[in-house]
Amino acid sequence: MRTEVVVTGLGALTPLGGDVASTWAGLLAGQSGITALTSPEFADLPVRIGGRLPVDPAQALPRATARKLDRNQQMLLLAARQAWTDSGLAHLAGTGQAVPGERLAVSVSAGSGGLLSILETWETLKEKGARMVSPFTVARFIADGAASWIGLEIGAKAALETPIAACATGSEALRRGAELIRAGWADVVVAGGGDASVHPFLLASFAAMRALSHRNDEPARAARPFDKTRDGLVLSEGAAVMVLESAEHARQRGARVYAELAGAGVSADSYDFAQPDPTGEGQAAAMRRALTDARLAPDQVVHINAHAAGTPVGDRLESVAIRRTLGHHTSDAVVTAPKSMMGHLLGGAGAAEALATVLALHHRVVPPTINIDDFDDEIALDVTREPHELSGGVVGALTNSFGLGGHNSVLAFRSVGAT
Amino acid sequence: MASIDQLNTELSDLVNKVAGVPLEEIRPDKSLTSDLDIDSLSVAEIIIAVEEVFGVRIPDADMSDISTIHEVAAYIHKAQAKQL
Repeated sequence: MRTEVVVTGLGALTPLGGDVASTWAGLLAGQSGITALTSPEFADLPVRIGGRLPVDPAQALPRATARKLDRNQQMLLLAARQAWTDSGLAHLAGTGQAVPGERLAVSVSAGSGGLLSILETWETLKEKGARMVSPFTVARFIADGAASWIGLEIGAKAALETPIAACATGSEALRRGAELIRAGWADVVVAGGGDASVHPFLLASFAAMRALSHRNDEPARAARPFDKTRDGLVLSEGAAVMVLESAEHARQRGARVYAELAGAGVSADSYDFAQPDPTGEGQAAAMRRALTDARLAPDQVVHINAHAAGTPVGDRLESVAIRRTLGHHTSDAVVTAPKSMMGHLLGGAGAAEALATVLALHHRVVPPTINIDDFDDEIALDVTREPHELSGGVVGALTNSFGLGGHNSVLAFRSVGAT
Repeated sequence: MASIDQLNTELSDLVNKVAGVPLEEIRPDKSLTSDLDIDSLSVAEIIIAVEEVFGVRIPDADMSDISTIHEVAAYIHKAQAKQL
């Protein structure tokens, strides 16, 4: 029999809030986390809007800890701590019921690694010389740094992994986490992703690709997936982490289960670096594989958390791909686009949106999509603009993450019991 | 030239500042790694700071003989005496 994987802990720092409760409340209320970037280093950029955390992760950690960690690592460590505590496993540490380190793994990624630390240290090296380069520089910039810091803190000895897949990074980290449990390498995996992306270097780089919204005068209205006037994505920072656990392990310790991570599907377009395959087949293949893996039929999918970054081509193509996957059942699935509120968390997006999907199943309500003033009639999906209540019973949901370079990563979740 | 006692006090402040170890836990006879539980990269940071503040060089080869705060102080004291 296949090992079932369930979600037993959640943690997040997003532009909507410094924890899961405030993020979820912001999503349900249809709040925008996007603001104008007014400090001098952004002044000369073509795009001066972004989603910043309302809390400074460096302030939430002891100074000696904060200075060892890149900003992405600070966010991911804090999100992991939240999830670890939320799962109840933190309280078991040091007792006979603690998860043995040998059965505990980490699958946590940052899409850009410690890019901010690289930029900062390069300045130090040029201005002050090699002697002033911190011994923590490598630890701060390597892409797997966050996984290692989290592993050190919880004593994970089964594996530390860091799957990277551009904007699908967070989703891929969760997929790998579930695989570690299914393959029998671990009973519990702390999994998720995050990126510290609100920096002039990233804004300039993404703007050069023509990927960003230029709506500088209306930050809160700039992220507008599925609206006719959408003009690109909005960069945000943030992290989301889950505790994944074998259903048997969770049952034995009486853990609260949010949802089942029922399956995952992956594919690659290999069509163009920045543009998705225009047939939508790559994205549809990933969705079909996720459904098959989760043993979900198209008519059991009541909710889709769309990748919907707000780019003119991407949103339309996702609609094509969803219809290709669900056929005439497409209208049974309520679609939402949390990037309309959180912006694009890059390596954190897949994890934060998986978290929103899990909470939608847990609370039986789908958060709205905001900023749709003029719905693009080329989008043939049931996109909700109000919080939408889900029916009872066991239902399935998909969350899509598509990344630059042609990564398609889809996670399938199933609701559990009565709530 | 600073006495060993003075050096011990200054080093304790430096270890507190760099590695975040509470001052009340720091004593001259404590080992940086095994007693104060300071990780290897933070020890490297402490050594860089020591070299900067006290104007001495501590080659990697000599690090194997240095474990406690007092041993660091003695090393600095000896190196400074040579410079006089």
